[in-house]
Amino acid sequence: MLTQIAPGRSQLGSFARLRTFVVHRVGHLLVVVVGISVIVFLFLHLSGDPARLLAAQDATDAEVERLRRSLGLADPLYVQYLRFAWRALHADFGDSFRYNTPALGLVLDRMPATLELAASSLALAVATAVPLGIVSALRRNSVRDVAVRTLALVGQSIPTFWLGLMLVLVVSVQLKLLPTSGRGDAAHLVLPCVTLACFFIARIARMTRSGMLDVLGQDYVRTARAKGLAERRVVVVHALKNASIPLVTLIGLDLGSLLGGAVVTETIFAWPGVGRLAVQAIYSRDFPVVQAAVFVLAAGFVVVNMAVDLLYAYLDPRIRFE
Amino acid sequence: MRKAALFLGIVIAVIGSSTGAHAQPDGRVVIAHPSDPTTFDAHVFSDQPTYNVLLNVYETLVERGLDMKLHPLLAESYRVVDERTWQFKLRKGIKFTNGEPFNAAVVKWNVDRMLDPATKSKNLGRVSSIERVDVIDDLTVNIVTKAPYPILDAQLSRVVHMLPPKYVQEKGAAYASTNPVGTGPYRLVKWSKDEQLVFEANEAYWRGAPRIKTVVFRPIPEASARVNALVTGEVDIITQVPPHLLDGIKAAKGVEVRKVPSLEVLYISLYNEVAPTSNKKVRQAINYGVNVDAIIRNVMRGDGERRAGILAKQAFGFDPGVKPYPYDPDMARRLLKEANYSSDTEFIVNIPTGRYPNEKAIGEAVVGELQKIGINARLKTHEWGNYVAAMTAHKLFHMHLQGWGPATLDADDLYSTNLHSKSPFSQFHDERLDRLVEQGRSTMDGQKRVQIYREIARYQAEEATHLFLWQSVNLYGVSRRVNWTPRPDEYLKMYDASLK
Repeated sequence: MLTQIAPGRSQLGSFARLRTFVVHRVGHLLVVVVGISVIVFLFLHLSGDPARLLAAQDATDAEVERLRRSLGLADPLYVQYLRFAWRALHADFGDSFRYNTPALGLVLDRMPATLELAASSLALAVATAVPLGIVSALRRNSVRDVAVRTLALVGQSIPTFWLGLMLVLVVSVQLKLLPTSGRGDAAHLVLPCVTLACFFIARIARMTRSGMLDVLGQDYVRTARAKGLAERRVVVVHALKNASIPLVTLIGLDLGSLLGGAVVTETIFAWPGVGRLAVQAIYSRDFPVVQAAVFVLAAGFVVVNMAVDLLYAYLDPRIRFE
Repeated sequence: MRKAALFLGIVIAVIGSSTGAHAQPDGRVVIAHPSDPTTFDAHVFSDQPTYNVLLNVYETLVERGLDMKLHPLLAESYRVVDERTWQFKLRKGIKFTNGEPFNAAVVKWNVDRMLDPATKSKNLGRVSSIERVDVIDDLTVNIVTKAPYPILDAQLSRVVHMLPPKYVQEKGAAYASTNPVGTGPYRLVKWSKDEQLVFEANEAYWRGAPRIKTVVFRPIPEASARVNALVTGEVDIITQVPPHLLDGIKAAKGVEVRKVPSLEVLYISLYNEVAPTSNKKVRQAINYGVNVDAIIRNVMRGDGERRAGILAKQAFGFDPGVKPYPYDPDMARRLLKEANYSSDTEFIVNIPTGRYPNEKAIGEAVVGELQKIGINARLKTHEWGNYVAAMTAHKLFHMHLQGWGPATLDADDLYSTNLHSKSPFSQFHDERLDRLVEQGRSTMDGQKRVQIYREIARYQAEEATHLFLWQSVNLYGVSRRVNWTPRPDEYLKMYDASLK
């Protein structure tokens, strides 16, 4: 739990508190993951019968039934869930129905591609958006501010798939500068990275601008300026650091959603990521793969959130963990 | 001078190809298809993307040539010994790429492995007719079926790819499923899932080394992304081009569209146990009232061949004598009137999403045509998984779109599944059809089988069991530097390809 306490209270025991905080958070993680596993499990099993989809199209009912039994889908639902949960405790999500290999392995195989795309596009987004937001806030209602705000609005409104297709048509097909799709060297990364980053640039720039506007009017900023500090130091250390808490939250959430939510970009650019795998698995009712993917993504999300909370304490020393 | 050189070139090419001696494998071809194969455990899978790619590494006893006829492959010859026994003579001296020999014991091990429930084969139904395999000598096997089974050789062109027993047993099935070893023209050298799959020529291949050295398969799910990759020269062959993207290929340099009638026939199932399609006149009226030729022209841009039944023209048992219903809306209205059809209740046309090219446009066109003859039709779309569940539970009435290719190229494939009342895919329940289908399945005499299938085709047309549509055309985009003819069965056998 996070609370703000009066400044000046003893720093003593802050490490003990940090440890308790982390332990609590891991406890949360377990609750969240168990909850998610029940929900995902139930929804998946309500969504239809995988055996018929997996069997050859001309399979008879008896053959489908045999396949269903061999996949363990004929047992009562609670038996299936307990079996799943017991195995999951041992990091075993079962074998994929479609691929016949361990589901967790399939998900982890695609993790590097997903992380590569998520990290690079988020880095690009932050590196572009934060300066834009600051400039915009410092020169409020100037031409530059209006330009940034307009760009942000446009960036947030453009559908990702449209932007991706247009970038491919112009940059790859017309100008022949970059490959159209696939993964390989750095050139393959540029277009999907830019496509994904655009949406986040817009969001982060807007958030930076409004955060900075709040902070720039505060007394301590005026004090800092009155002390005769360089404008650069005032902006970066005194203003930006204090304006970053909502920003860090937003970026954390974005990173979480990027881990699994880049399906559209992954599809357009044939990027071999977890999102694409998960969506394919949902369509083919490949339960083990869906469950493994959701588990990995949920765990990633919770870990990112925990990291964000830890960052709060660095950004605002008044914040303590209890 | 140039003519002379060209002539010389042709002569050399002809001599080269007639002696069968290929030069050293050379060059690289990249193929983009919608999805990656799932596994190289060839006994387990049943999905088309895997079928398409697998035959570059593994081989079967029998194969289908480009002419869609059956030819012995790993078998040198085969014959029917008695009603239930087929004898296969194997080719001598064939080795897997790891050096293991191919022989009769290998055949037995592979069939047994497919039949073993522990293998969890999704194609078990294709081999479940087999009772046992007898090894006669090192190069002779007898396959004994439980009952007379006339399409065993057709099934063996589709399944029981030959895996090396020792290798699979030593390394384990999981390892072998991503590190395949076969007798085929290519070896898998790299597989980054969902990214790329790289084959290198097997220079010691028993039919002579393939002409192309490196073959790369890239899964690109988006059709427009495949077209872009072709147009920019990143890939040489793309599969499953939707009709509306053909213009982009035609306009580009160095690439062209290649077409082949697929084995898949599209049709719309009618429920004969649910009103109003339980009335034969209503079913006939639907066939008279929908202008299928216009839909082929306008929705499919001409890429479809009208069929009077549900069977592809290449299939054994196809009857060219049955003609499609003519477009006759007046006749349709008259038949509806005679059937006392009332438009009070809605008539649902069910369509899946993400399954067939232009499925939604087809559905909308059919709905429009039905409304014109006075049927109160409405379109309903379903996600494919739900669609299959509802279809096999017989709940997708009043009609649903379906496409089916006979994997064995035999009429039984379609008729057993679509016309026999015991099949989950059959919405038409009729005793006479059941009897005929069963007869066809258990008759070994080819002539008699043809007679039975002709009778089915005529009866089916008369009964209007379905709204009969067309045989699809598969569309490919291909770089002009590649000599390669697409196959009706969608297999991507790169042994047949070469570079110009």
